Amino acid sequence: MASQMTAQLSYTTPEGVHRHRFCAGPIQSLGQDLNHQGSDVQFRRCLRFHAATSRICKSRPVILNGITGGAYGAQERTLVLVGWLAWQVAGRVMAHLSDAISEEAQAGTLSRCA
Amino acid sequence: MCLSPVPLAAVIAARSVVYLLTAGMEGVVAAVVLVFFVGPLRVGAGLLAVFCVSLLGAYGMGFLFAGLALVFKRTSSLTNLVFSLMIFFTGAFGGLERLGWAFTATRFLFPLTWGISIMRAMLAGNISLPALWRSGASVSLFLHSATYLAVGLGILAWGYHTARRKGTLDWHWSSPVLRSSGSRLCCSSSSSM
Repeated sequence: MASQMTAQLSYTTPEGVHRHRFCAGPIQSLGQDLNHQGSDVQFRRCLRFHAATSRICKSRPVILNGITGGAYGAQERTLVLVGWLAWQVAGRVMAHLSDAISEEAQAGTLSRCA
Repeated sequence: MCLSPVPLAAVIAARSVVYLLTAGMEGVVAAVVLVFFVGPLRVGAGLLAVFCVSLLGAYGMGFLFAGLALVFKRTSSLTNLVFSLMIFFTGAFGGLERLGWAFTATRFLFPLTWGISIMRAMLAGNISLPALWRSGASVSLFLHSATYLAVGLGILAWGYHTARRKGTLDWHWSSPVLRSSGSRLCCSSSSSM
């Protein structure tokens, strides 16, 4: 998914190799020099935005097709809905926590000033 | 490098709450939309309580992966893989209770399986909150989630101290392209104690 949404441009200068990554979509102009600390964090936030929006847009029709097109009764539909919601909310919290703490570590905010 | 006068626990707690609010609001929006197709969803206090207890276990697993990420840096692939596999192993789309010993194994291995199983049983009317309390399943679920949370926090603390000791707390690895060329992205040379 990431490869469809991003492009990478690299060039060499006397100071070294510079690489820019671009994130297409509503958040514009995120081509940043990766040698700068904040850019990668911003880039990953942009990717996460796209991943979240695409997941919302794609997963709900899948769920709808599954529970309205199949031979599910009203109770089975409710059970699937509750299971999916629990997995979606708790699983997303779980999956994003490691990214969030990594971001904080990279930004230096996990190192408390004495 | 040190940028924040805020304690580590406060940063992690704030991040955890924010992600819960974000995912929770998205879940509420999804539920409101899907209820029109599915039918009324009877969300009682018991259901919410079981979900909140299960959420503790999910937080534990999140902290576990965060601790690993602080030490080994590139763990997002593993996290995403586990997140995707959990849709099958939590029984979100179908009950796993008929699997017998396999269900017993998965409900202990994954933080949400047991909770979702109980939530499905409560919605189906197979068990009520008082019956759940009397059977001891609620206590077992709480202990299971609390264990996950404790293990997750322990591994996060281990990862934090290990990364600080190695001076790699605020380092992150570049893309595979950059890594193959032998360069590494680094935000600062070491973290302050």
